[in-house]
This record gives sequence, C-alpha cells and structure tokens, in this order.
Amino acid sequence: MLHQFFKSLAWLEPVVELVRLGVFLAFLLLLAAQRLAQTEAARIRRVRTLAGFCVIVTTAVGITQIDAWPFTNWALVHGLRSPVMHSYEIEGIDAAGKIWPVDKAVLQPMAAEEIAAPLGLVPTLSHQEQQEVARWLYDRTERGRRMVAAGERFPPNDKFLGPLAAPYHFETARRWKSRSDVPQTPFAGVRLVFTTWNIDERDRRGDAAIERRVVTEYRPHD
Amino acid sequence: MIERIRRSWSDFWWRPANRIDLAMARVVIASTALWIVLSRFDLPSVITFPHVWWMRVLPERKLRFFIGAGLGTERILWLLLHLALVAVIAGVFLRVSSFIAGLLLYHFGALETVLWTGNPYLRGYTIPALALLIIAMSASAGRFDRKRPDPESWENRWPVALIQFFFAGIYFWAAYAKLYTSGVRWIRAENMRLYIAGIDQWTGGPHPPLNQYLLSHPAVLSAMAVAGLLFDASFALALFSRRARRILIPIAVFFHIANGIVFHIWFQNAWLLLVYADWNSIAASLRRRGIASNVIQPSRQ
Repeated sequence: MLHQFFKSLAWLEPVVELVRLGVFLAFLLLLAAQRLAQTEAARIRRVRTLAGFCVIVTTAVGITQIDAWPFTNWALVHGLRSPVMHSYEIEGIDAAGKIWPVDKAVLQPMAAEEIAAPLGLVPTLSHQEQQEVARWLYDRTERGRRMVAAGERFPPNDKFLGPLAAPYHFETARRWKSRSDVPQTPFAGVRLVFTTWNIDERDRRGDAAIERRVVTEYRPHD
Repeated sequence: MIERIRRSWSDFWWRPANRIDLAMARVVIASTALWIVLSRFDLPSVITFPHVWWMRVLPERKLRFFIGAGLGTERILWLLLHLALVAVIAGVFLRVSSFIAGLLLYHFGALETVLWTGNPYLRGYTIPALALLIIAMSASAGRFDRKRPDPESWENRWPVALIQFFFAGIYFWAAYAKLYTSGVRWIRAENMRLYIAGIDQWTGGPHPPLNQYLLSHPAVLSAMAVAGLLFDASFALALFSRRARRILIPIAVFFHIANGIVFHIWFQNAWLLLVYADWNSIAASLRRRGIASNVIQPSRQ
C-alpha cells in the first residue's frame, strides 16, 4: 500500500515534513489571497481556488492515508486487532519497599497514550539516557503524589474545570482518587514496567495473565 | 442526474446566506477550543520533557509547527491563545483574534503528540484550527450585528460550507481508513470483540455491563460494526441534504456517546455538530416564542 511504501522510506520523512508545512502555508496564502481581492469577480475566482485546493488536499490525504495535518486521514480503530496487547505501568516504591501503582495522569498535560511511544524507546537508550527519563518520571510521580496527599485537585488537567475538563481521546482509569491511594511520604523510587498480555487470557485469569518487564528504575538517593 | 449533483454542489458552496450560521459557528468552535485548552494544564511544559525524546523529533517537524521558543515564550503564547479564544467568543477584534487563535491552535495542537507523531488528529485541535483561520479570512469574520440589516450573500456561505466539509471528512475518511487498512474483515465480530475487550483492559477498568453483553453476542458486534461503518460513510450526505442532516446529526450524537461508553473513545469536537444546525430556523422559532426579538430575517436554505 502507498502508505506502507512511504513509511518504509524513512530518509524521505524530513522532505515530507517540509511538504506538509508547504501545504499549510499554501492554505494560509489562499485564504489571504481571496481576502485581498479587489473585485467581487476576483474574490469568487480565488474562493473557488481555495475550495478546490481544500477538496483536493483532503481527498489526497484521505485516499493515500498520508496526513498533512491539519489536513488529516481520520483513521481510528481501523486495523485488525491483535489478540496481544502491549502497555506500560509506572510504579512508585515507598521507603518501606511497598509498590504503589502510579496514576498515569501524572504525565499530564500529555495523555498516557501519547507517552507510550517515547517510553517504548527507553530500552534502546544508553543507561544515562534511561536515567534521564526515569528521573523525569520520578519528578512527575512525586509532583502528583504531593498533590493527592495534600488534597489538591488532581489530575492537573482538572485545575480549572474540575470534572468538566475535556477528556483525552482515550481515558484511562483513575488510580489516585483519594489520599489513601498514595503514600504520605515521598517515594523512594520509581520504575517503568512494560506489560504484555493476551486479551482472552486476561479475561480468564485477570492480572495474573500479564507479563511484566521492569525496563528502568530510578532512586534519587542512590 | 449529473446536473442535479452539480446543482447540489454549487448550492452547497455558494447559496446566498446571512451571517448567523457563521457567527454561531464562530462561537461554538471557539468555545469548544477554549474548553479543550482550559483542560490541558500548562501544555507548554511539554517542551521541558526529556531531552532524549526531543532529540529524536525531526528539526523539520519542529519547524513545521513553529516549535523552538523557550518555556517562558511558550507560556506567554499559551496565555495569548486563551485570550484570543475569549475574544473570538465575545466578538472582540474578530479578524485578528480568530487568526491568532487558529495559528496558535495549530502550534499547540502539535505539542500534544509531537514526541511521536506530527499528526495530532482527534485531540480536538484540527477542526478549530482550520475553522478559525477560515473565519478570520471571511468577509464578516463571523461578526453579526442583529440591529443592522443582514443581506444574504455567497460570502457568508462558503466559510460555513468549508468548515462543514472538513468536519464531514472525520466520518467519511474514518470509514475509508477501515476498509483501506483492513478490508471487510474489519466488521468481523472477532475484530470488534478484541477491540472492546482489549481497550477495556488497556484503560484499566473491568468490562462495563454493556460491554459484557456485547462480548457475548457476536451477531450484535457485527451488526454494530456494519452500522457504524455505514453511518461514517453516509455522513457526507449531511452536506447536501437537509433531510439527511435531520437523520444523521442525531445518529452522530448517539454514535459519539456509544463510542465513549463502549470503546472509551471521547470525541471532544462532538459539539461542532452544531455547525450543521439551521440557525435561521432556530432564530425564527425563538422570535415566534418571543424569546429573542429583533433576530435577523431568515435566509433561503
């Protein structure tokens, strides 16, 4: 497929990014051009050009499924679902060594979904780079813990609108709903765990079906 | 037949209209964008995320989204986006505020996903960014003064038509993407079952009662997939037919609520279905009931 073919040409990606920028700038130019037309006839002509441009770009993006956001392909749950799921967990470790599941809302303003791909890179990073990511995870986790422990509004995105805040595209279950969901003292460490499971197995056996792999761990006082 | 299609196409883009539809589109779109922006606390802080991730973002992608300023500048721009959206809703400095809001939505929308993709669709920014830029460059800039005569003009129609066209693409291309990627196998009950069970597990909750029912009824799952696909593919009819709009818009509302409950997928831009409303009829109805006096004359539809 065209989409797969272009994806295989990684070296082309920088050029494609510039083409995408060009498409957006062309859209702005066409918008401005119709606005600046001196006569109604010229304006009609330019609006026709603008509309034609939008129809052609939208159709090209749709058919090829190669986006030029904000002209986009709108693909959603469009593949054939594999029975194997991959995800990640963040776990906090308190001073007594107890493990606390971390609410992924600590990653806000970014959604848990958006962080999955960058976190997926972690095993390919050097030890120093892994520690940079893990330290960042620790800082986010600790910030979230402090908010919940202090009874402040959590997650951060709820700051202004509370429960009326716009949800993310995919909403994950809330884990930190009350003070008892977090330790009252700072975490001694945090770790990133990759998880894999078979959907049917997990339905049968629950969380016991989840395979876990600790990818990196960070302890600020080590 | 071809003549009829041509007439519908031409009528869709160019029929004379007064300003109310564009003015209402402006308020609905800017309000939705403001709701999203107010729900992403300190989005500019994404630029402080681990350097090792940012190193892997192509410089061309950063350039494309005008990413490169420091945190302080980004926070000022973020505040400016809030102010611009409020100004658009309030009808203040409309052309300038709409343009600034559109450009900044383009810039900040990218920040939500830029660490792994430059295609941040379905995060709520796409249609508002495009629409506010269109409104900024329209003849009226979405301005509406109910005390002044509002003559009908093609100039009030094409911006609304273009926004409606972009919005309809959400559904149409979603249907196409399913068939393009997976073919007719996409509608198989097994595929739906794995999606529902998998997303339930991924989002961390137990199967809700409705999903438990669906997961044990393959025929219902397949019927649901076919219905969803047909709805997506047929939504484009809402562009050309008032009768289709009356059927498809309520279905769309149901569709989004069902998607939220069954698939945990929330579509923040569902409010933008209001850009298909016939605001002249609504205004006339309000006028008849004495709720809104002095509202503009109805335009031809």
